[in-house]
Amino acid sequence: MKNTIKVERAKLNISQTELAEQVGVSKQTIHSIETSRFVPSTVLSLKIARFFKAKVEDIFELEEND
Amino acid sequence: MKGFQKLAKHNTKIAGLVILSVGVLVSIVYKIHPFVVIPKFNADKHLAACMWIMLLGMYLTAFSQEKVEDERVQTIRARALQMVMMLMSATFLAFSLTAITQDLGEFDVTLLIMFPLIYLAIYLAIFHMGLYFDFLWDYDDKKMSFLENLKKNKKPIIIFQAITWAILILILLLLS
Repeated sequence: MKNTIKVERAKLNISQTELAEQVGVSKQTIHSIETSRFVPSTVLSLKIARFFKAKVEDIFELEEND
Repeated sequence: MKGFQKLAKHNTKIAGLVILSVGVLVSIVYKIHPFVVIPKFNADKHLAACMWIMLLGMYLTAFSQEKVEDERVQTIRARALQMVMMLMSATFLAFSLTAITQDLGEFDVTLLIMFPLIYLAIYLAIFHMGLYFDFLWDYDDKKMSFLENLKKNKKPIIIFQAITWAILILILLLLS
């Protein structure tokens, strides 16, 4: 599953640490999600989407192999 | 399963690491220069007591929360526990079969300490590898073979191997 968190962060000019604090996870978790090493739960995905004021499907997208 | 996870607070992990360090130090000192604290204990029981301090430290370290205990940490913890549980069950399966078919003789007290010590060491190695070195792990299961993945990830594999072997060698040296 790919995502546009890095792009969204760049638009708002916020760091991984700031986003992590806002959604209640560690910086490493945000890094792992951005690099597609960790697939977040529905709750965390919704929290991230809400933070960026976007829909979940605008941030996260299924890949062909998923 | 909500509320099922019962872990000690993060401060306990720091206390556990201190106790573990003390246990390692005391065990090494005892191995080099045996000392007597409780006169009615024999040498085996003294070594087992030193290793028990290590075991207590490892237990507290293993089952304490991380600074930020989020879902990624819990996933890594669950995977590490699953791997160790499989390994532990397989060992006990083999061990129990040996106990049924062979006469194992007198039971050694250090065996009771050794098993949880080794499994906790393996669990801690896998868990912390996933926690702190996962970002080094550059994998692509869908496009690359297992061997290609390993070749791409020499650094984390070397670190993981070094930590695991160091812990296992220390335990074996203490038991020798």
